[in-house]
Amino acid sequence: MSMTEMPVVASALLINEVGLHARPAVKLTQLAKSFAATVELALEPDGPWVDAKSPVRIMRVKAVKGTLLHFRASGSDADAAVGALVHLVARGFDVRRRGPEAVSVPLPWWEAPVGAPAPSPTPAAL
Amino acid sequence: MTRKTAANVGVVIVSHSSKVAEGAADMVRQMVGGAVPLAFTGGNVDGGLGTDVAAIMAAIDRAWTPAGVVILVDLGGAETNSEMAVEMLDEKRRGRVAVCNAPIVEGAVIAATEASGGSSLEMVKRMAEELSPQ
Repeated sequence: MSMTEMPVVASALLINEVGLHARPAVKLTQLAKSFAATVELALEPDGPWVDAKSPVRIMRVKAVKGTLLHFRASGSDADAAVGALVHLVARGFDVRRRGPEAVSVPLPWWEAPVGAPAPSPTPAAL
Repeated sequence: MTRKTAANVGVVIVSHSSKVAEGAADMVRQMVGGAVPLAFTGGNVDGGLGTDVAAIMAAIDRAWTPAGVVILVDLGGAETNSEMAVEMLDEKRRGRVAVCNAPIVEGAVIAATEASGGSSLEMVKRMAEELSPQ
């Protein structure tokens, strides 16, 4: 980044139940990687900044629901990168279901949401 | 993302257990998607726990791309047999395969995530190995 070029900065609130866990972290890094710009993420407006294209580092952030995520990008498509990432977070990572690792695709049995209502046992079963 | 699958590094999962290998592959597919060539193998020729050099070579073949392939392994024999399988590849391919020093499940997910962005073989290996304690 040249001295005259200001990074693009924006923030978004984590609204999905699980926060920035494994699956959201994968989606975030995949989206960040689709831009040429340097893209970073921080939990505070003044950093420390983490490479948003690093799945290992983004997974270590472990931000919970309600956290404000700050994005900073530099490069030709920095505007688009920050815009797309803010949008992804604001959309809740396209999660439709609630659960410990909510996703937008049907969950296999071993990942059925813990909080989901269990099938009510019939009295006769007892 | 929209990058061509053929350009992305492939991922091979080698476990002593076919169930572990298949389960790790399921996690990769569901979390990362289909942008990365993926293959897995587990168990020995008798269907028991173990690894098999020929089966590992076949898995490398299934996940092969010109960008290369990373292999994620579990315990000792999986690593030595994977190294043997790499040794037995033809010379052109040998240099494009890397065995990662990383936990098998987490390493496979991280490697596939990195590979899905079009990163080089070296970058994918390094990212997976960043998981291990420094």
